[in-house]
Amino acid sequence: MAKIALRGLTKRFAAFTALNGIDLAIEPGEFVGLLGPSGCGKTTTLNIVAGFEEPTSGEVLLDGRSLRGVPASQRGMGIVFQSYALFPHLTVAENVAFGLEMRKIAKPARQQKVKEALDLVRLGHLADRYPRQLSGGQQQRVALARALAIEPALLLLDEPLSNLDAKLREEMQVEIRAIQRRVGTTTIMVTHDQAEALATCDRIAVMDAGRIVQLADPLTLYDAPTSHFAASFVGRSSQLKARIASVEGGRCSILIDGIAATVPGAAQPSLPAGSAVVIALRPEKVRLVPPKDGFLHGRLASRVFQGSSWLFSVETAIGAVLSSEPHRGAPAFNEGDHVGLNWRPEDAALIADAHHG
Amino acid sequence: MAEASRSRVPLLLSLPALLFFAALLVTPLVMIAVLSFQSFDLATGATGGATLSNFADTLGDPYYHTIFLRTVGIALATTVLCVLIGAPEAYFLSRMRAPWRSIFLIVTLSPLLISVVVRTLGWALLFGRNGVINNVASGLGLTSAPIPMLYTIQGVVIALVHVAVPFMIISVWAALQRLDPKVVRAAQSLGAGETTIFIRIILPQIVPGILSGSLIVFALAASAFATPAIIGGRQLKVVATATYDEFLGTLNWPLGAAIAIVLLIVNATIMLTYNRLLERRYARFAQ
Repeated sequence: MAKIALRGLTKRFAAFTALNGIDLAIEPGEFVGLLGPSGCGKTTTLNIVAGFEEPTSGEVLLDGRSLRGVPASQRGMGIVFQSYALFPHLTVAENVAFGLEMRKIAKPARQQKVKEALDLVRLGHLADRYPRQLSGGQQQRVALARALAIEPALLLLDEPLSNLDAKLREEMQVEIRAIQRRVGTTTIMVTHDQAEALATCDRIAVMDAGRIVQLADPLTLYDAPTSHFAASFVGRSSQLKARIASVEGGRCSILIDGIAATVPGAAQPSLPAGSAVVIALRPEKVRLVPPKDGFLHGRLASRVFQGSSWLFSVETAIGAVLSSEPHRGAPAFNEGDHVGLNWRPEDAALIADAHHG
Repeated sequence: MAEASRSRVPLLLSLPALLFFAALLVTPLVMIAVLSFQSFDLATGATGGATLSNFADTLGDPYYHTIFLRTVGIALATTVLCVLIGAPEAYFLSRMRAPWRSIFLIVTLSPLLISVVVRTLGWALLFGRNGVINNVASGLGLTSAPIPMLYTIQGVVIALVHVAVPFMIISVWAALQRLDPKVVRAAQSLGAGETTIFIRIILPQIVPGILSGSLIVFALAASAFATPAIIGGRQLKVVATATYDEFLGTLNWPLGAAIAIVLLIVNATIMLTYNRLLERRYARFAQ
């Protein structure tokens, strides 16, 4: 049975629908991310699960039991807020102990649990400090320890890392993931950062305008986005409007709009010949080749060195296409060169395009 | 050269305000201080010279002891009541929804829009033997004899609380605005109920606001003139009314000045001590 299930969650404000029928079942121990731009409904979803807001319709089931009418203070969920929301007048240890005190756990057991929680986030040595004496990353860990100390039914992370600088953020992603694996608490994380979601989650629900547009593991989401929105929100991609020309065996030929170029792709049962599609190409899967070997041709408009890789932008007849390759010395092509672009047929993600016919 | 002239700019910019302050506050204060050391003659008034006799009279006379103790007592009672009423009220206001919050905040602060004399006369109408409160109470058969309120310490304290409570609310309100609202949710998620959240999480964080509010209220109450003069009447003197009587009744300006100076020192000492004690206690986590 799912640890937590959202059934048809809908939240309407006067003139605005924040959530429009969210269905999501999360297995015990799973780490699920709600990913989307601001205003997509991810935070509203989290607030409803936490009990801070009531849904207009639909319900949340925890271990099969409805949480309707159960106040936030009775739900037993551990929450880590973007602003950390530590109690500034209490020490680190007192912050972590607060939830245990509310559960009337006797002092010796409480102290033991506080110590365990602080050791888990490697902050045992700072137990007697006040929050304002800690760095952002340390405060974040105290917030995590405080949420985990109560052995929550569910761990809810609300943009937990967006106040940290880039380098610390990457470290904390790894650490949060490791801690979650160790304690095994079912976790929901809200984030607008696709890299963060890809790095930490078992599954990602991409949200747009109050709906889940795709629910998939990070690899599938990245390699096979099912919508234009998912393809552009997660990672970088070049998108070309096209039409399936013919399907033969496992492969198909795709006619790109605007130029009479035909490129190969991997056939999908849902896309018969004649379907309008968008081809989403990840830069690292597109190779820069001499013109005669390319499916598409164009002029190398820019060549940007990014440290570990090079990013190329090729100006074709139907717009810019991005390509990137790992840095192994100066690339073979210079800006202004006429180049070709090719890719493995299975690397072209085909998305059904309802909007053009 | 440019550096030197630039460093003078802040001084020059604040000079008008400084002069204004010096002319209107420091000068009269110094004159009162000088006056308090002069001797007094019934026939000629203040006669100059330097004497401590006015302070000896003020500090040595049991009559003034009673007045000072009454003043401090009234100020303390007013402060305590303002804390008990103002702090929860500011918290409730801060938890209200959008239109109601500003509406009720304005209602709460509205006493400040009315002249203190008019407001206090209003209380006198309510408090009198045949005032609204006593008429209603006896009309309902709740009381057999009128409750004395006018010319009592309780009456003065009630009227002073009404005058001073908006200052407590503003001060606590400012402290509440600095609070991270997510802290309340964090406490909820950890299992705390409303009362626990207020006592364990909110209250300790708004203590600096309550502290500064208490200082304002205490200072206002201890130096209040109109309210004790109207509600307290001629019998129930406080320091401010006693000073007034010395200046304008017996025309003993030096004694009046000495009483005023002693009140200033008592007031300043109590406030500074209180401030230091509580700031030391809360400095460790305050921003």
